[in-house]
Amino acid sequence: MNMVFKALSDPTRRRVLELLRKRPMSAGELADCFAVSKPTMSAHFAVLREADLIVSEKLGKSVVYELQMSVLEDALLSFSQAFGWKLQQRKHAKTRPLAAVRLKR
Amino acid sequence: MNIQTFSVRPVCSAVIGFLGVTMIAALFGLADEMGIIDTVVAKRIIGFAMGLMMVVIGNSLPKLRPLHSSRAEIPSTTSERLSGWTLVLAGSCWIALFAFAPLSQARYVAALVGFGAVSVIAVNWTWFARRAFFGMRREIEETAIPVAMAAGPRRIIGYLLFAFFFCVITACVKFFIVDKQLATQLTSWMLIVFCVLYGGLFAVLEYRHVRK
Repeated sequence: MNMVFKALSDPTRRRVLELLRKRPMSAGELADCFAVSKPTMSAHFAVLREADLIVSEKLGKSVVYELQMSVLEDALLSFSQAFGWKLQQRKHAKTRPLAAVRLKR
Repeated sequence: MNIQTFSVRPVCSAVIGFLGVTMIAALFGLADEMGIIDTVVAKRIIGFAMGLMMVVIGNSLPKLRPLHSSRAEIPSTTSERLSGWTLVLAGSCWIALFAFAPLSQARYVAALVGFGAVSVIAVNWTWFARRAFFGMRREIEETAIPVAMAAGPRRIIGYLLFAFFFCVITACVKFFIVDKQLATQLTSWMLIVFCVLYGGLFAVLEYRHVRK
């Protein structure tokens, strides 16, 4: 279960799972949706695979990922999406004045 | 083609959960028949155990991938998620009913909830099969081919789900019919039908496995 919490703690990985909810996608297609390097995306995929949240298949040169989440993990993802979003908002609201002060200095 | 097969862990946990809860329900049923414990208490525990079983199987259903097929033209994820959620909600409802509601009302409501859940899943799976295998247009891109699954776990999932749905339907019939003699007769016939169908399923799955 620790692996699942670790996997769901990152917003990029949560977004990957959100995308895979719609349909299976190749690594390239998924990487195109994010502004991060491909090795970073590979690391994210490895964490998701270790937590048993996704499965992969190598087809020729591309790797296709498919969702494999239990109902509890699905609920946890939805919960962390909502809660994580609120935390991010709060964090953003708190850090913005400090950043503004630093910029003025 | 390098295939990374599905993890066997969810299959093992679902089988262990199913067998464990079935054993508990059977033991309490036997104790009730022998007059060791009160019928009301036994019925409540059996209902609770059945609810727990529905939650356990429903939770792992999207991981078991019962509808998954490399020949399917649409991904099965949505149908499996819907089935999983339906079973978990129905199971939670059963647990709450048999823990808190009066037994005379709980048994009817639980039976209706059980029949409803099984009907929703049956309609959903039939609809999926129609769309996936019988002439609907492919909706996903060519790269998004569903991941292959090992044959061994697939057969176990087939047996497990068949036994599970039989248990749920039998429990619903038992809870719905008040007349004990009629309920026993009906469930005896259901057991015979189950054995015949299970034999058929075993023959089909094993024949396909040997042929491969």
